[in-house]
Amino acid sequence: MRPAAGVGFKAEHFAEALAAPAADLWFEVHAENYMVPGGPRLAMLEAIRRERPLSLHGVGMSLAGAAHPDPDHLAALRRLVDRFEPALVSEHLAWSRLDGRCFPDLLPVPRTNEVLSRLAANIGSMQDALGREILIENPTHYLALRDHQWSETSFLCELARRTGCKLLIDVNNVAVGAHNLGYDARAWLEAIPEKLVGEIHLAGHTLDGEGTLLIDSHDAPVSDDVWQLYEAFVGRIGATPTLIERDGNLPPFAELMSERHRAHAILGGSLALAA
Amino acid sequence: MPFSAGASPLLLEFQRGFAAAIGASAEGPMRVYRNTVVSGCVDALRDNYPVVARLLGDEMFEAVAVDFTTACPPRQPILALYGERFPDWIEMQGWASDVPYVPDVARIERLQLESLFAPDAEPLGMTFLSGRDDWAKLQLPLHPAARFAWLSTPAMSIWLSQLNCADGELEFDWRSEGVLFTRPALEVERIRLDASGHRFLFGIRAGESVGAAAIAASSHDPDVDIGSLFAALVNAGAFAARFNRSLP
Repeated sequence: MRPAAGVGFKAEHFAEALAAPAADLWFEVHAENYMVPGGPRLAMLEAIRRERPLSLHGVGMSLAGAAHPDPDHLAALRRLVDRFEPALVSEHLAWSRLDGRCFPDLLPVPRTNEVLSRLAANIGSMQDALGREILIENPTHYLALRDHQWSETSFLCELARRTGCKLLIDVNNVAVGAHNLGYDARAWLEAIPEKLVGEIHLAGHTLDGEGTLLIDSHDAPVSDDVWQLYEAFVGRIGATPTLIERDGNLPPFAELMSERHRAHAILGGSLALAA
Repeated sequence: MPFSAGASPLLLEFQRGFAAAIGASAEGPMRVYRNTVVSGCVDALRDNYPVVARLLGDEMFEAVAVDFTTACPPRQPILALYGERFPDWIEMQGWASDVPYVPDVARIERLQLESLFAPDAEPLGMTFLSGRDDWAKLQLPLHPAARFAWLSTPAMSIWLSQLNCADGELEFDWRSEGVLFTRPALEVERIRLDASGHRFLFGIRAGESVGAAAIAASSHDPDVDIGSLFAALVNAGAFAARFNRSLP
């Protein structure tokens, strides 16, 4: 896939997404939403896929859980990958499954040596099951966990080194975590080696009811501070496929596309610089 | 396996502690996780049972959904089909006796949802049936997206009125009703079944021949036009083509 900008695909935008003339546009979907046996949802994604590159973004593999990835879930993802031949496949550095129960969230872990080994093993299992490299996304932070043995950036780099996976850097997650836990977002991004980054996510956030925590809500336009971080990051690492994510308060397709064009222009600027 | 794949005891202990903290009435950062988990389940249930949500009202549905997701949390990360046990669970709640049609409305919504996401398959065409006289031997497979039920409440009438956004009092003849959903292609079709239609499909599903199911259906209603009933079911896509060509 060319290092262009894409948008998260929503069924509400189907007709416009299919007809969009933008060069190098691509779409991303949450893989789990398409793990159904049949019906119009899959047919819609096939129509999109006939026109555009696709990225499958998993939210339910629970790679940071103490257990092995669920074999049924791996098989369901494999079927989707075989059917839709996505340009990118990604998952989160998070857990969402425990003792037979699933949590529709991306839950955190302490960055210990034990967790590193477990994550590396689970990423290895997932890559083996799919027969391809995956991208791992950095999590959002709301809570300062004790017992970290690794900084987040060195933990991500070590995972990539051990497994051969690439990183999906969510710049909004970095900004939200930096605000909530009090670290420097710019320094965080500067610690990520350019060769490890396979995709970038941009999304909006909101302040919680008590006015203290930023929430990675995906229900607002990308904020100015995230755009600034993104521009500096891409300026350093070069053009990288970038996604505009939006899940709540869904705006008209044209509004998402205007954010996408802004990202695309920034990528184009970095391509021109590189040339 | 290139990496250590042994147990991760400290991680497991951490996860169990974290899950318990989410389950407790949490403050501060833990509340963010709790809200995401609860709203993820509640939103999925609302998507899958929109008419139940409308009948109960926002506030009541939210409270009911939180109770349900506590009792029956998701066991899969795929929420498109979450809430299989919701209709039976509603029926066991004390408040359900005030709205005795709601469990059946939930069953109808569940059948429709299952039809929507069922495997794709070619429906049986009328040409396959023309000129046949082997009804006593002919067994037909139901289409994988066909879902039907006989319900002891007028839930189908109530559900249909809610789809049409009717407001005000619900006034229906209190009688049993049958419902059939089919999805011969990409759109779910809904059909009212009478007792003979339900008996016919019930027989087909149980492996009866078309002839045997037709005789049994006639016993429910001696005046039933079995030919028309069968044709209507075939045209609705209730049966799968003999040589099933499932889409990949």
